[in-house]
Amino acid sequence: MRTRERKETAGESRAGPGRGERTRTINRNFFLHIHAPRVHVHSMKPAYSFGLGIILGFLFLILILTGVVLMIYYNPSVEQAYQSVKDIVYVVPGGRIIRNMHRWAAQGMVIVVFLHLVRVFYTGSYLGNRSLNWVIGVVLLIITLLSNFSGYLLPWDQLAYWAVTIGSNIAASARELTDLLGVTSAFDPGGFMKRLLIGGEAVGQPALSRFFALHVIFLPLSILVLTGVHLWRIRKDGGISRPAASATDRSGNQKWYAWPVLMWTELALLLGTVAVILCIALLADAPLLEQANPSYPENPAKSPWYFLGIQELVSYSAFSGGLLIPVLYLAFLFSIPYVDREDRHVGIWFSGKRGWKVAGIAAGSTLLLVLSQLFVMIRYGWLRDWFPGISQGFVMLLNPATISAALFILASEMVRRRTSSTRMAALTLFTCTFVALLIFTAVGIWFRGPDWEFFWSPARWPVQ
Amino acid sequence: MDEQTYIARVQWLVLAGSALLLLLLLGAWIMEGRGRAWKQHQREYGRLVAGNADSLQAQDPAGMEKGIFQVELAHFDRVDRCVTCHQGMENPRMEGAAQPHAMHPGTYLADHPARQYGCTICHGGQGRALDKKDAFGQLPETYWPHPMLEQPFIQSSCGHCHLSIFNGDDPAGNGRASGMEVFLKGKQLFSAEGCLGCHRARGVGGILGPDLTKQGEKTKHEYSFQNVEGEQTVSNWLKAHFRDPEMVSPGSRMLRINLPEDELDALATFVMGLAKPGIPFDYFTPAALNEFKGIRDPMEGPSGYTTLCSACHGKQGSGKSYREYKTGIPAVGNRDFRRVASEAFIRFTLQKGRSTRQMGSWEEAISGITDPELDAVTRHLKQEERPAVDELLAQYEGSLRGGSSAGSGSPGEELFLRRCAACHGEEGRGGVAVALNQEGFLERAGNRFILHTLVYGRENTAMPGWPHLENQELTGLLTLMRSWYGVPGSRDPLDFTAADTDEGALKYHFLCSRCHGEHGEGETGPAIINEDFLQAANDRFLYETISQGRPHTAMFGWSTDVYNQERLDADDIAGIVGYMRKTAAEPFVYIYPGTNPGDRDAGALAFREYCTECHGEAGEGPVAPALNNQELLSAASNGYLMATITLGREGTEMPCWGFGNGSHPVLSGAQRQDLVAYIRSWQRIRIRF
Repeated sequence: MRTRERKETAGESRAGPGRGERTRTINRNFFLHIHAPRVHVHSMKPAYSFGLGIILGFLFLILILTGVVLMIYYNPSVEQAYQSVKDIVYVVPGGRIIRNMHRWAAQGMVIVVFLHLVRVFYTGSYLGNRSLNWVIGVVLLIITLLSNFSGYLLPWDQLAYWAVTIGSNIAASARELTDLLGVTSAFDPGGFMKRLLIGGEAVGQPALSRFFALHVIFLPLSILVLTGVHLWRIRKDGGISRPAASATDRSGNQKWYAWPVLMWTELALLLGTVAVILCIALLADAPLLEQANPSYPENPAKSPWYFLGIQELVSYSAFSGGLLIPVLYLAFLFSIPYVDREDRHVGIWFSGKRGWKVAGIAAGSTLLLVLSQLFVMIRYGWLRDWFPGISQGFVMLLNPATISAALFILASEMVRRRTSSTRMAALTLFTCTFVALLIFTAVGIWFRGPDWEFFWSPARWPVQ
Repeated sequence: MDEQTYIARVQWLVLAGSALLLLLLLGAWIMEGRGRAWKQHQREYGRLVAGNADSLQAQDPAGMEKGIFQVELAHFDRVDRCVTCHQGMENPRMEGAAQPHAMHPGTYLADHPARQYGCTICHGGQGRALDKKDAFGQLPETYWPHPMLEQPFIQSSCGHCHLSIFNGDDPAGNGRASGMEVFLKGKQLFSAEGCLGCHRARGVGGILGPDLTKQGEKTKHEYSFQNVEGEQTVSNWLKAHFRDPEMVSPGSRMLRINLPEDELDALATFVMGLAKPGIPFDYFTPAALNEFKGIRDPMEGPSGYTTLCSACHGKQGSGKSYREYKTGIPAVGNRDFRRVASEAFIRFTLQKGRSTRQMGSWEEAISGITDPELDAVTRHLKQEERPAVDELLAQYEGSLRGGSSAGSGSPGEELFLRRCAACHGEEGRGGVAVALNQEGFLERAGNRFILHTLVYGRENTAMPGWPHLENQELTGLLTLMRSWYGVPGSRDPLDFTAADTDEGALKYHFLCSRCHGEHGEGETGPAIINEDFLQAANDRFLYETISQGRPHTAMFGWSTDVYNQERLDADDIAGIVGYMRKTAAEPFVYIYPGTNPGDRDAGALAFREYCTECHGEAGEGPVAPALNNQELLSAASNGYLMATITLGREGTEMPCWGFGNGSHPVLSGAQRQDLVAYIRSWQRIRIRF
């Protein structure tokens, strides 16, 4: 105790302000107040958190600032939307760069939010008191995707129009089941979801108005509020997760003052994030295709890339791919902290060596399983090609998505029995589903062409 | 690691980050601020103006306005910023300067001030854009549906407002058409190639192909370039499509257009100009506006044929060979068709089309072609140079005075054997056609009657006109006939103008229709109510034939005492003749097939032997016109079929079965009648006119 205090005093003399002043700096400032006055050394390790949460915050900040500028010039009417985006690109000083930054920061946010999820899961950060914060995090992930999706429509070009058309059809996936049961005319939850989303049977002015309102008010406000709760929970939980202190490692309990250590780190992350986004924005223009034309569908019409995994599943079966699997997946994500309560694993990447092995095997076998099913499907067709008269119910229940999901659940149950650890089971299921999601998304992005046929590259697509 | 080391490391990162950010911001500022192409162009233009200015009109480049200039065109729903770079557009000093500073060539801007028209309405391209690539919009990565147009295709833009397809060739209405020569050439080709035979434009034309009224508004995204080589532009697609429609658009039935490259360019330019843009109506020329409203100049016969028929039936009416094309097209421009097909036949076919064939109906409701225009086309198809009957008569009478004799071995006799005997029998004693060598006939029929019949033929009967024969040959035939029974007595003409035609109608129906048919189309007796006959026959001929009858035929004299028959007096006969003349002038409901005494079973055997090779087992005609379609059978009289079999069709593969030409057997009159009966037996319905 004495040694530590001396060390701190020595630090003070070199770094400037004294101990009380440092705490006051944090506590007096409204914006800095979300930080704890002191942070644990373990939390400052770059290779533990990678600063992903903070990067998300800064990306969101970029989005808010550039978004406000765009909103000043943008006109959310079907007739004017496209023209106003063109004016932003051509006439507004710096408009092209601002739009590019907004676009790429938004895409970046989707990527980073997934990485953040992966980091938090594999370090077991949902354990202990953090289960509620995990749930809030998953909700924030969903809102981020919705936010991005609602912004996708606003330029009102062909890319936007057909992507959202596809997205709205995914929302209507429940129709496949109700059609099969023959009750669609009486009970049509799919149609309800679609109408709720786009305000009609086809994308038009109602959809644009809805998406605009969601995109600029409702969703950002939700993110802001939930992020506040998210950060507040972190403070309440004693900072971000870390392994339980061991008696032998004394440095394991060391804390640094947030001012100035964390401040410098955050500044570096802010500068880095802005620089990277600006760099991409200078090099690559955000896409802007022809004005939306409802009579000429893009072929292939693809939803935004982060939904292409789902679109790939929907191409097997609308109900199971567009509703059943996503709902199961979300249920799994939400339930993780309530099923797995093995708090001893908190803050340790993969919960140690055994976890690395389990995750590795899970990832490898998923790769093998999903790719072999895709190979069979693309090369030899699926049930519908083999038995043309088969009921849609069979296709709905037996396709690469449902088969994989069933096998994943089976595998995680097996792991739970073998290791008698829920953490290992969760690790298995999370790894399997995430790798599968990556594969399906990659296939949707790069290997699907006109009519959703398989192509090795877009260069081989037939000329339209 | 202690706090200080950590901070030190992070501080390096912060330094690097801020340096990078500063650099990027500087880059962005230069790119967006100084580096914009339009700013460079404006500086360059300023230098040009300063260099060009003479002492009097020196312009201070520093005082020139700078910035983004734009023409806002709410009435065209566009904003054109082209003038931002093209500042010298209206500056006469910039004539011949390098782009983008050059003055606009020609006088276009005088008629189309940029303030009112902007640029992209004619040139295409993206008016809002401020850099060359996006403004030209020609590259695929610019995603602009209306790329800037190059010569000659830019002339298509003139068509958007100035085009009148039918209302004359003076698009601007002021006698000037400079600058759109290629477009106008394309318009000529559009008519000459008969595009409207299958396509519609502005409510006129066929229905086999797509409507072309707004074809020029289609963007390249609406075309498939799967089978088109070369650049992906609308003009290139159109040209490839003209050259080989089926290759470019699989399943297309369009015929190839064989034209040299520059004419294909012109045609593509014209098609790209077919549009009805959503701009205020006062920008259209009155002629174009009228066409959109359906008001247009009527088509003449020849131009109607070219515009509507020539694509399929050929510019000279030669048709398309049935052996070369899957769907051959009958020849309609040859002499045999013209003299065998009656106006009614042609008109009926135009009106109804052929249901099992490509030939569609040209009724106004379907094609937008008016009845007078169809009449004009009909007349054009039927049109032929005919020797004047009066002249022939004079020539004949002159030859009589000259004392030339016509007896055995005369050209008339030889000609009669070759041309007439197949139906009228040797020495005109009668065969499948009426006997000519007959006292009762020759006594009454005047020279004019006979010559008129030879020149015009007899509508809807098997007697075609022979206008292509030399005058001597025609008079020679008359001389021959006169040599059989001498000269008719000269008779005073009669005047039947006061006849009671109602009474005549009753009499005709009770007495004459038994043999001559209810409508005078001919039954066991010849056809007598048709324009050709009634023009040739004067009232005295008719009166005497009715009152005295025709010896050796079933036609007895109605003024003579015949057992059990009513006697007609002069007034009765006058009424009948009046009725006949009145009825012939009236339009008729059906085309009546007329008489044919053939035997269909015998005809079936003959058909199988001689006709199936081309016309098919059941007349469906794989390599010759289909005979079993109801429109043909409703349009063609038995006489038409008989004449076609007998004479064949010159210029096609249909041989002449009446006289033979060595390669085919000659069919007897009875055999030909059997064939007609067999063909007629396919008729299931009779279609109203």
